[in-house]
Amino acid sequence: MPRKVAVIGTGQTKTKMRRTDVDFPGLVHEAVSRALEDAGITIKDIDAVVFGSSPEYFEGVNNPEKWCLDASGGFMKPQFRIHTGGTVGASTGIGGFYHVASGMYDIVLAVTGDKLSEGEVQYNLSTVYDPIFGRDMACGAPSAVAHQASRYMHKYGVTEEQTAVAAVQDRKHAQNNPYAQLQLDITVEDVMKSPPISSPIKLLDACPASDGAAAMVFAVEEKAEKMCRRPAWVRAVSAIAETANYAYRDWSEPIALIKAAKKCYAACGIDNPRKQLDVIEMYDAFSPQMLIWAESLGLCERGDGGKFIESGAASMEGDIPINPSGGVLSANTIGATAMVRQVEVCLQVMSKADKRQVDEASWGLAHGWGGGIQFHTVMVVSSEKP
Amino acid sequence: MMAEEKYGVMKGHIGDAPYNWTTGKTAGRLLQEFRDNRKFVGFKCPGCGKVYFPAKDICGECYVPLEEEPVEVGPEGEVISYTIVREANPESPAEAPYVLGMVKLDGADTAVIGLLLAGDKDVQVGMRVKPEWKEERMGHFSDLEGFVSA
Repeated sequence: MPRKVAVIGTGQTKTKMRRTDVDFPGLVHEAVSRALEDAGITIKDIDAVVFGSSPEYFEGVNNPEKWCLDASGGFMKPQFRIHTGGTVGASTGIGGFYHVASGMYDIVLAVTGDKLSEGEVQYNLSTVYDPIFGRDMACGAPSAVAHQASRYMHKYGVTEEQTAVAAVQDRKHAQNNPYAQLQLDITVEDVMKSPPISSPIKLLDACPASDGAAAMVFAVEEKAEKMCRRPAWVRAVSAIAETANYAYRDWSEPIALIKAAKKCYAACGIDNPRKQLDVIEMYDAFSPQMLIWAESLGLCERGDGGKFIESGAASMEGDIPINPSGGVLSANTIGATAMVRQVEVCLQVMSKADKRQVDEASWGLAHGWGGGIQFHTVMVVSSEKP
Repeated sequence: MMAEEKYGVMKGHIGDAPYNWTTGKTAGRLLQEFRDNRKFVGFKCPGCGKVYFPAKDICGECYVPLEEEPVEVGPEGEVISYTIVREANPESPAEAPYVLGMVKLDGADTAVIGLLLAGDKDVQVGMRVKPEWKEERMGHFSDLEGFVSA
């Protein structure tokens, strides 16, 4: 039986297009310091460190866990790196949970991030494709997701105006989040008129590239209760991968996410996620993905994502707010992005989300996506102890 | 040819650093067919019966090696999704704007991404396409110029 584990502190940096005041280890140190302060502990209290970052080409330094060892707080402690592409932030959080749940360590720090401004992101992303088949047609993230959107919208008759609602909503929510990079006041018409990047994806349907890091402190039951007034209990985690070749898959129906969600719901006794969950943070790097992920999480019927988002159900005033933080469309460091989803739902159930707080949120779900599309992660947290 | 180069080696680079990637069994055979016969061949999974094109050596779902004997697929196929790319990056396959299509060849159960050469005027999901091959072929994915309307 895994031990009961809670998050007792989180930290994140303000995301920006370019931070020239710190190097990458400096960003890592900033996130860790904030998480330790939030938890009310020092690095001496940490038993082990789990470090995450994306492809080495982003920062141009191989083995970044070595580069960032001191900054991550890993000196004379067990420290290792997790890397699962865009999912890495979530995988790092899940890795922190595993460390404590397994009984190996009592208090574990998980930290992850990226400094995308230092390299050529889209070129570097092309190096994650198979060199024999795929790399010649590699075209960065927007064109890959454009295929997903093209398939999805064709299959279900979803319109660009409908997906634009997600782009508007995330940017509106971001206005309440001091850590967000983009806090835009835009309309569906603005999105429709923004320059096309890779049809049907337009500029305002796309996430920015950011510099930033995030960190979380996981503690075993006895210590969490002693050290934290209202911890965020980790109620379920799931990380599922599907085939690596993305042209082998139907992206409009991501089977890995569907399975990950089902596993978590079963573990928590959730049979109506829309009703039983209070808040969701998801990895929608491009606006059509919010609709696809919402369907896959069981928030609406398959193909109804357009109507769901138009109804306002996922806004701060709706019955199941999605991305009170402003989501990935408002900041995307890649390395920290999926952990920020976990951090944000923890803040919600810990009642520490300030202006972006969802009233009486006690159950939250964080989703992560990445790795050239094949990885999906889900973490469910609650203020209610298991 | 050295024994370890049985299935071919593809030269490439990341930035300025050169690489020599071994193609593996099925991809090596498939690229040989590109070069010598301007043909598409897929490989069947003995477990689920799925025909993979392009193929790697293993069916991840059944976790068994694909059959050794290739199966001819295409040459025509259907566009299952597409995108008109307006912003290129240094490794893009063409000058922007260009059209990328995900094409499921007849007889294959998986899809391949290629350039749709007709331009963006008439492209739509469901359209039938056929391949256009380069005159000079070297057993590389780029031997396939792209697809045009069938």
